[in-house]
Parts: sequence; structure tokens; C-alpha cells
Amino acid sequence: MVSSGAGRGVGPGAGGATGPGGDLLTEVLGPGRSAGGGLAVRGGAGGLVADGREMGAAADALRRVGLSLGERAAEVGLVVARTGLTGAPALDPAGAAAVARALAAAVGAGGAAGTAAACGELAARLALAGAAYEEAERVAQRVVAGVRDGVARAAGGALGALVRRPEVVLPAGAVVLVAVSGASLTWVVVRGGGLLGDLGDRAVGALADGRVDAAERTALVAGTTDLPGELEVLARADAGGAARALAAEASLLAAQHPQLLQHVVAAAPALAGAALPLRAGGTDRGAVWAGGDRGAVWTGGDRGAVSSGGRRGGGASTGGRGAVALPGGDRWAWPPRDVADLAAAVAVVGTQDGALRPTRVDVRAAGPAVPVAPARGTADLLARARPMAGGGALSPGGRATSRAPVHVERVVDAAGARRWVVVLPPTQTTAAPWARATTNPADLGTDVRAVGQVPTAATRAAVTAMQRAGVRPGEPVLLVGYSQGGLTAVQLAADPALRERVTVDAVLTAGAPVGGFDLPPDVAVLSLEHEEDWIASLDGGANPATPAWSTVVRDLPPGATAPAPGEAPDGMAGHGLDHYGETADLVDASDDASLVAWRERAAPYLAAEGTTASAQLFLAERRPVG
Amino acid sequence: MTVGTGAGVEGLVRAVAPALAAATAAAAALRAAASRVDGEAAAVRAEVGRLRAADAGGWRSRAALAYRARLGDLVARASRDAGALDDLAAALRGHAAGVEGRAEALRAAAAGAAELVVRAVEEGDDLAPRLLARAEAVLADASRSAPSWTAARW
Repeated sequence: MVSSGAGRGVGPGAGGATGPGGDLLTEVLGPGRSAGGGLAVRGGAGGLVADGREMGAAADALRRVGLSLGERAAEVGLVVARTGLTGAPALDPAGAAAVARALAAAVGAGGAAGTAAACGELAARLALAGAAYEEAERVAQRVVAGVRDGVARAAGGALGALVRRPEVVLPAGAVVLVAVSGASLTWVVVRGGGLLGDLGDRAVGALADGRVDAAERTALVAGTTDLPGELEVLARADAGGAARALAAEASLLAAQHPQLLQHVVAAAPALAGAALPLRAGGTDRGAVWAGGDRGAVWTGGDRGAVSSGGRRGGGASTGGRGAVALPGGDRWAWPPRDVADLAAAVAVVGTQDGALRPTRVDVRAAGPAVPVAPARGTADLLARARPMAGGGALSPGGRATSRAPVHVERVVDAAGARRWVVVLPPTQTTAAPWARATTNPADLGTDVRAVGQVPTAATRAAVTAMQRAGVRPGEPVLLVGYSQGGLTAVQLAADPALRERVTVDAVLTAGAPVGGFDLPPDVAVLSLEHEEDWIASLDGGANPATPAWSTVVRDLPPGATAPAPGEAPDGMAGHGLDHYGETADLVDASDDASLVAWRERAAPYLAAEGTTASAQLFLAERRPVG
Repeated sequence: MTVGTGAGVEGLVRAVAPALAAATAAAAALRAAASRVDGEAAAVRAEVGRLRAADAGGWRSRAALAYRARLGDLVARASRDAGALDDLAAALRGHAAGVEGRAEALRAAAAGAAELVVRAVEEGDDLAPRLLARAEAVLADASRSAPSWTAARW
């Protein structure tokens, strides 16, 4: 199956491609199909999904129809020709002429015989297109896997160099994972960025240009093979200083190479598993998971039972690796299969909530529900997160406040039907994820836990806020989230236990690394991402491109992220909510099929004649327990 | 009326009989062919359904849109083919009716000629040449479209 979520990449000139190959290169390898206004769209109602087997089956059916029509035409011609032997034309020449004309029309080149030939031709084209998709997908997977493997092995080598340094103290697994992995990845980005970027650009560029012949493929594979050695040379050269802090520079580099960062993040589980032979999950740590499903986020507003679901590829075999369910919805799977496993492992020992540092969340209303104007579009929906992102009336004290806001808005249409818009907060504090320096549930620990797809204080806060606001089962809910808010929104939507109580109908995310989640097909999702926003790359993969999930990738205009005169460059500029607001404006104006379908889905939550809305703000605060 | 003329007319009437039988058989063959064509039209309509099903519904792309547009054209075209086969069946039935009509005209002409001969005998030899000329004209008109059937009779 080819889908337009197979890679987050850029390809010069890809936007103008047409035909099956053009579709593939534009939507799969490129940022998405051009939707005008600088937007590229993947997935959704207008997205690319191609299943070579289905196309092959359709081509076969088409071919059979063509053969059958040809046989029908021949049979009819024979039957009618036989009537000429009876002498009937001599008796009724005019009738015979009419039959001849009708025969030509029915089975001639303009009739069934021509249709049969056209069916055969179209069948051949379809079969070729299906084969092209399959082959292109294989090539893309091979090249991407090669690049990723090269990154993993190279970074693993660098990591090994760090770990072997005698002065490096390894106090705890979490710190090791965070610090060493982070330093390694930072080093790879900073020092190996040029090599990796060149190779990645070459691979993606070649694919996007359609230049993938055997020689090019061999060259790309050779490049990925040689990459680890080249990086190891750099690592040796940097042995004395590889661990030095390069975070600010890394942020800028990440913003310049979001595509590369995504591969680096995707490679992180492999390098962590290879470089850190930590103890695998075992029966002495709790119940062993046969399938390795993620824990659900629904806990009924308090810590409680855990159910499964939510991850992409959930239920797959662990391949002999242990996966252990821990208290509080935590889990431990080592070596990690993917970014979610790695983040979940970090979360076990490195964050509040979960197994080691359980907390509860207190949620209280900041005031009564007040009438508000219903949102007028996607941009208006996203604008409801603005007070949470930059400080303001909705979030007293701004982003560093000790309490996380949750905005719950009841929308009642002219017929009296109730719907809800729930706006979830972005990261509110940059306190260390394991520290109790803040009581704000929307902290970095929640970021790590959300990527790990384990319950978070933010999800519990959201559920409690919805309950307090009066959201009833069966009443449709549109979840809106910027940055961490988007993660929380998707995490809630992915939880089957939550969906039994809350009808999550649609999700709008902006700048959120949500590609690791698997959502049910009845939940409509629109994800906004910027090429320059490396935060969105932290999931290590592209968002699923399904008929229900559309991702808009926007390449911000030159200068949009440039620093003001005299100011230092800001690696987070592409993540800014203001830019996402502009992107949402473009979405509202776009005629792309996926975005039109999104607007239709969101319409019942928006302003219309007779529709009213009231909003209530809730504030969530974390309390340690135990 | 001369004996030769009367025998000629009688011979003509006798010669029409197998031609009538052949025309009846041809009409039956044409109607049978029309029924076969009806069956083929139904088969083509079934293929139209199969064509619609070959839409590779999971495929979503601009190319898929183009493919489905072409498939839609094919569906419309095959539907037209089925309609054209209906027209062909109707033309075959019309042809059969035409053949039957001509056979009926021959039969009527032969009967008319025989009647004229009988009247010529009854009215006397004075009228015979006129009546016989009339009989020849009737038969000639009736057989104009089927010369091979009647060429041997004069």
C-alpha cells in the first residue's frame, strides 16, 4: 500500500508532476500535493492511497470485461452474418441495410469491439500504474531505510564513544537515555548534518525527479553504507567535545533540517536499544504483554484501569522482546521498537505520573460558562489556543503558570443539538520532566509521555474538564490542540475506552508530533505542520495519510522565520502559533478536496444562523501522591 | 385464353410456394437471431456492472481520478453498446417483419393471379389477354424485390 504519508520530504519541482508517478513523487516523497497558497496536503478526502494489489485486481477485472465484450461482439457478428445466408436480404433489402447499420454500430469499432479494445488498453495502463506504485514504494522504503539505518549505526558509534568516556557518570537509566541519546542525536545533527543532509537530499531529490534507475539506486545504497564510517571519523575527531552542550545551535539546525531530524528521531530507538543493553521487560516486573499495545489514556479522571489501543501497528509481535505493563498505564519495552517505545521507557523513570512518580490532577472551573461567538473557521478554532500559548487572560500568569488551562466550549445549533469544542493547552513550562518544580500538568514530562502513548496528567485533566462541563456520551466533540495540545488531542481520540464515553468526532492539531498514533477512521483529523517547525518532526515519522486524516505542510515564506535586525536567530520561529494561524487561514480559503471535506466536517461546530456557543475555562493542577 | 398462357400462370403460382416457405424460414431465423442478440445485450449489461466494480475504490490520487473518468467513459460506452445491441435486435425483428411482409405480398399476388386466370376462363377468351396482362403485372410487382425467386417463371 502506498499512501501519501510515507515520508516527510521535499523535492524540487515535485509539485508539478502529474500522472501516477507524479502523484507518488509529489504526495509520498514530497511534502504533499500542492493546494495553492503555499500549502501542500497529504491524505484526507483528496489524498493519495494506492494499493497495488487492489489495482492489479481491478486491472484483471477490466481485462476480463474487455475479453468478454470482444467475445460478445464476435458472437453477435456471427449470428447476424448467418441470417444473410437465408436469402432474407433479397426479400427485404431495406431491412437488411438497417440490420447492417445496426450491426456496425453495435459491434464495430465504435461499438462493443472498440469498447473491448479500450478496456484492454485501460487494464494494461492500470496494471502498469499499480506495478509502478509498488516498485516506487519498494525503492522509497529501501532508500529511506538505508538512510535511517546509516543514521542509527553512525549515531550508535558516537554514543558508544560517549559511554566509553571514563568521566561520564551514569546515575540512572532515564538520565542516561535522555542525556546520552540527546547528546548523541545533537552531535549527529550538528556534525553529521552535512553528510546526512547531502545524502538525504540526494536520495529524495533523485526520487522526486524520477531519476531512480539502477545506477542511481546503487549509488544511494553505497552512500548509506559508507555513511557510518564517515561519521565515525568525525566522532573520533570530536571525542573530546562531543558531549558539550550544543542545544541552541541544534535547535537552529533542526529547524533547517526537519526532514533530517525526523530520520534521526526515527533512528533513535534503534541506537538506544543497541547502545544501551538495558534489561528487557520480564515477568518479574508485571504482566508481560503479548502484543505490546499502548496503554489507554482514559482513567476516569483518576488513576485506574488500563486498556489497549491507539498506536500505529499496535498488536504486532514483539519479536521476542519483552513488553511489560506497569502501574499508572506505564509500560516498558526494551529494546524499543519505535519512538513511542523509547519515549515510554524514558517516561517510566524520567517523568512525573506513571509508575515511579504518580500524581493526581485537580481540575477546577476558573469561572462560569460565558457566551462566546461561535468560531467562524479553522483559523478561529485554532485562535482559541492563543491565550494558552502566549500568556493572556485565559491563562493567568502565562505559559509558566502552575496550572494548565482547558477550554471547553458548548455549541448549540438552531435545532438544539449540542456539540463541544475542547481546546487543549500547549506545553506550559520548560521545567525538567522529572522535577516537581512545577505543578502544571502541561509540562515536558507530559510531552515525553504523550509521545510514548502512555497516560498523562494532561489527558486526565481534559477528561475531567469535559465531565465537569457536562459533555454527555453521544455528543460530538471537536478537539483542538497546538503543540502539546495537539498531542493530547490525538492521544484522547486514539483511546477506545475514552471514545466509549466521549464521542470524539474531529481533531485539529497544529505543530504537534502526532505521527505515531493510529486513529479510528470515523475521526476526522486535520494536522497543520510547517516545514520549518522541527517540533512536528519529533514523532520520527509522517502522519498517517488516510481518507480521514489530512496533513497540511506549509513551507513558510522566506523571511517569516528570520530574526528581527539585531536579534539572534530563533530555532523555534517555525513553531509559532501566529504562523499556524496564517496557515489555518489558508486552509479556510483552499479548494483542495481534503480541506473542503475538513471544513464540511467542522461546519456543525462553527457559526451558523441560530447557533450559539458558551465557553468555560478549567484549570488543572498536578498533585503528587504516594 | 390460350392453354399456354394458363399453364404459365399456373406454373408461376406453383413456383411461388417454395419461395413463400423460404421467406417464412428466413423470418424465423431473423427472429431467432434477434433473441440471441437480446441475450448478448443482457450479457453486455452484466459486464457494465463488472466495469463499475473495477474502480479500485481504495486508490486515491489525481491519477485515480483520471482512471475513474476513463472507466466512467467505458461504462457509458458499454451501456451504449448494450443499447446498440437492443437496436440491432429491433432491426433484425424489423427485417423479419419486412421479409414476412414481402412473403405475404407474394402470396397475395399469386392468389390474385390465380383468381384472374379463373375469371379469364369464366369471362371468355376475349378478356383473357387483358386479365393475363394484369396477372403478370401483379406478379411482377410482387416479385420485384425477389427476382431470383421468380426469374424462372416467365
